[in-house]
Amino acid sequence: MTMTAHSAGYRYRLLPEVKIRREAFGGILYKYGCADRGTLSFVNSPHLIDLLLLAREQFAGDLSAAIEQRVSSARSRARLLAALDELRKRGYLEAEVVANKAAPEATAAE
Amino acid sequence: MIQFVQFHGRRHEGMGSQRRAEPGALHPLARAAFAETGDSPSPAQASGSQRFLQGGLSAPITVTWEITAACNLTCVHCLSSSGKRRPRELTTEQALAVVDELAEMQVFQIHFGGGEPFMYPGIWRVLERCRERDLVMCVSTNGTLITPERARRLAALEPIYFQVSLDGATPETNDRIRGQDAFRRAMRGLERLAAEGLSLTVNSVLTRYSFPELDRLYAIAGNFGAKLRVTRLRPSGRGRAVWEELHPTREQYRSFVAWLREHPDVLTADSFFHLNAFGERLAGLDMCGAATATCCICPEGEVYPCAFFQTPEFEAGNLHEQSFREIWRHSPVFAFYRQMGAGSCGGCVRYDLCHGGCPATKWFVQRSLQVRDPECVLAAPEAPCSSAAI
Repeated sequence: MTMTAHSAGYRYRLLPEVKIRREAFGGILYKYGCADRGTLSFVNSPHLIDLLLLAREQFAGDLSAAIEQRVSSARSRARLLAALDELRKRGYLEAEVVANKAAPEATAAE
Repeated sequence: MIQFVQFHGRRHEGMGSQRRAEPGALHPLARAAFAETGDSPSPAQASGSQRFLQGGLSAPITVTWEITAACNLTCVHCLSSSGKRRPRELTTEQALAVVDELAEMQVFQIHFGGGEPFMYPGIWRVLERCRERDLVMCVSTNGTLITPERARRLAALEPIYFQVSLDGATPETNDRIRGQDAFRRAMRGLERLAAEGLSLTVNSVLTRYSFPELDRLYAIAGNFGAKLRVTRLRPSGRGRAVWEELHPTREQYRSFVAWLREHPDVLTADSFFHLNAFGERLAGLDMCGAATATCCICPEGEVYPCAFFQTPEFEAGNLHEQSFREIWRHSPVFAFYRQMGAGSCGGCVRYDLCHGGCPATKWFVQRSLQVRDPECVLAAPEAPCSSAAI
């Protein structure tokens, strides 16, 4: 079946306060906060970092739109949606529930 | 499979601009100290956060910046022996250029300290430049110079975070460390910052005297809508002279770990990772982040692995002579620091939990990096301390 980027039931958006920095292993996500109050994650996927930056630079943070443009295979999309849901749980993304879309095999719901 | 790893990544060899350090460029004491620690763990042997950080990052995550040595207090444990302004302190124009460079390197956060940052003549311009460059700012202050007008002006710079120091929940305990009337004046500063709705933490260095007051410190922070942040005493600066008297006992530390478990919202600056060797991993980084995740810029432009490691033999470079980027990427001190071995902790079954503790504490207590942390919880039991009560 053909999947859309938001077929998992969420449309993901990168929070504006999240900072992204490329590193050789992938990149770092950082969310505002003082020293140990902040949230910091190392992401060992350059591909995902590229996608996050693309979403920020070209789609005002709309990751679903970035996936639509950049990722064609259903398998890659499913993998990315799972990754994005993990980032949502860590507080870097917000997710908007998309009505009338269903793809149970790729669900990212908790 | 994409993985998200907190302090847990792959070692990378491809940092093209990161040259291997030249041993000859190191201070002899530093060279000998690093050599004693042995080889760094291979990527396969490295564990936890070490697997990631030993590869080095393109830039620090946080830079601690002691922007002036001038201070209106003379705390007995001051890690940088602050008091008077120093002759070669960076000018405001130099400081602004450093802000720009840190922004270009994509450093996430600058943590201003001192001395008392509000005694630096150019502090407002520096903070405003940080705001313009979208750098997250945290200011560690003694709180005594916060006027209502300054608090209002600071509120316009949000997001900005403040740490106000209280080393006891009572004037008696706090002021024996921080000086006469410091408690009252810090509380007034907290009130003024809180009145503007600024994001606050109450920062408290854990000593054997403040330990019994943790619950009260927690309550004080709560009254200001602040979080409590408890940090480890280090024998750096004037702290060397009071280390033996002030550092907590092992039993206090054991109780402290239990207390932290009951107060998960208390911050620790990841400074108690040596206590992981009790067997329970505390939240946060489980190893020293100096020279990897962070470093320290000192008032006269000196750059050190961390704020607690200010000693000439471990100076990585000076901003009067080199750019920050050059120091971060090419300093032999940083390169060797990132490759430091486990020293005498190498065979310890708990090494993966504590990674040997704090190098600065080792150095200032025992002039060695290969020994165990002086507060290692697995060392032979310490003698009962008769001075544990005020």
